[in-house]
Amino acid sequence: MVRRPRQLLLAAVLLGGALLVGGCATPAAVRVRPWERATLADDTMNPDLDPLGGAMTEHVYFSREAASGGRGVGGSGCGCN
Amino acid sequence: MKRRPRPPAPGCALLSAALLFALPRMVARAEDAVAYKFENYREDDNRITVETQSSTVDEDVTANGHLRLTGTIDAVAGATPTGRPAPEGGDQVVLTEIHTRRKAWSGDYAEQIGNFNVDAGFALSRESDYVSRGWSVNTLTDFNEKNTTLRVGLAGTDDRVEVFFEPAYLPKHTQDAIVGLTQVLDPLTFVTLNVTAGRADGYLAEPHKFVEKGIEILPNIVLEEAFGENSPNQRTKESVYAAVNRAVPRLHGALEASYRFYTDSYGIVAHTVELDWYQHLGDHVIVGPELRCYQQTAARFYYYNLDATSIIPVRVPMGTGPYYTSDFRLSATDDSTYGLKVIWKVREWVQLDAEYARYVVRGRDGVTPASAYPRAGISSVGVKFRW
Repeated sequence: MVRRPRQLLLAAVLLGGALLVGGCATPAAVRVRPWERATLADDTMNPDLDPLGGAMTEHVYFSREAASGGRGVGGSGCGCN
Repeated sequence: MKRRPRPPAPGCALLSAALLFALPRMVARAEDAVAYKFENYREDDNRITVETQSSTVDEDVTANGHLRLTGTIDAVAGATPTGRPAPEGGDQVVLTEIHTRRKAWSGDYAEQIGNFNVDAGFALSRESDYVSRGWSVNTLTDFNEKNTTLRVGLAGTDDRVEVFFEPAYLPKHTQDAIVGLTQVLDPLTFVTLNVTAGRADGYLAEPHKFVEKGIEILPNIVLEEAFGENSPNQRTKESVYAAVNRAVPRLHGALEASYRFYTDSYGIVAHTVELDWYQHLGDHVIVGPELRCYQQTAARFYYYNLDATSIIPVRVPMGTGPYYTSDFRLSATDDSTYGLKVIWKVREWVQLDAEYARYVVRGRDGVTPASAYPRAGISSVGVKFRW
């Protein structure tokens, strides 16, 4: 039951690693030029638009669910979990 | 107060801003600001209420260095499940009143060195029975004319837990690592893939949670007794997070959709799907409906009670097997959140925000009653000043 997800995860890690090694510096990855970034720079495209709110929301889930993380690492622990 | 150099022309300023903010979370947001937010988390039926106040100060302290300081106070009060089941014939699990206050501080210093950004952080959290000290180092490296960003991060905590059956605080340590990639696909879209792994060891149980087992003290006379839960003293976890952000200029909005797969050595497998829409209303207001669905399987040592098991619980849990817990957070659940946030940029230098969300946790093991799980309203208001 547990082994299978872990194997899937290992495959994802290997795939991600291959992407990182093979795809980090390649002209094919230059998809957008600086003068084409106006929409990407809009507030609606900023996942970190409200960092305080994001941290509070993450803490609600961290306190009441078994799973956590995925977006980043850091911060302190808490007696709530 | 030291300011960043300003580009000479408005056109250059626009381009510079685009370059700076085009890839969120990829570079330190070099914005000087102070923000405050108040959040009220209130569970139905007079259960737990958490009032959180948090404030952040962001400041460019050098031409390429940025400092962020954050302070948080949580005030927690109300009734919460102990882990003990409902009395025979009832469906309300046993609750206990708690009152506690948490104070937390954190600081991050980020330095931009060419296409490389390194962020070193510390964090401290104190409660009456729990102290946590955390550290982190996160790096972001841009490639391909800032179309690609590689994230690599390490973090750890050194915690002390007060446990009622031990004379001294017990240690708990965690280490986490992340490797991630964000790639711009076209002028409207970027995608993110993060892989994280973590490990915790030490005292990992919750000292205020109990399990119950009927002990036959005399023939046909059974006494229900409570025992402290017993969790493994080591836990490893892994997750994969994937997200896509896509702008829809025709609608003046953008979609953020994400999925997270999580698994750990407790035997828990969890799936999380989040959808957020950010809609411009005029030039100064953004409205954001949100939907989150979360599902987890139970830890392999979760039991509603121990009556149907052969487990003989111990008086003083030592972190060795057999393991058992009745903490609903380790049971099989379906959780959902839906809400709405509003961000109003009143002036260039002041921004207000408000949010309301409804959070519902439902058990799905068919055994643990609904009264074990929280249903809550989460409301918040905030303000940010920029300079």
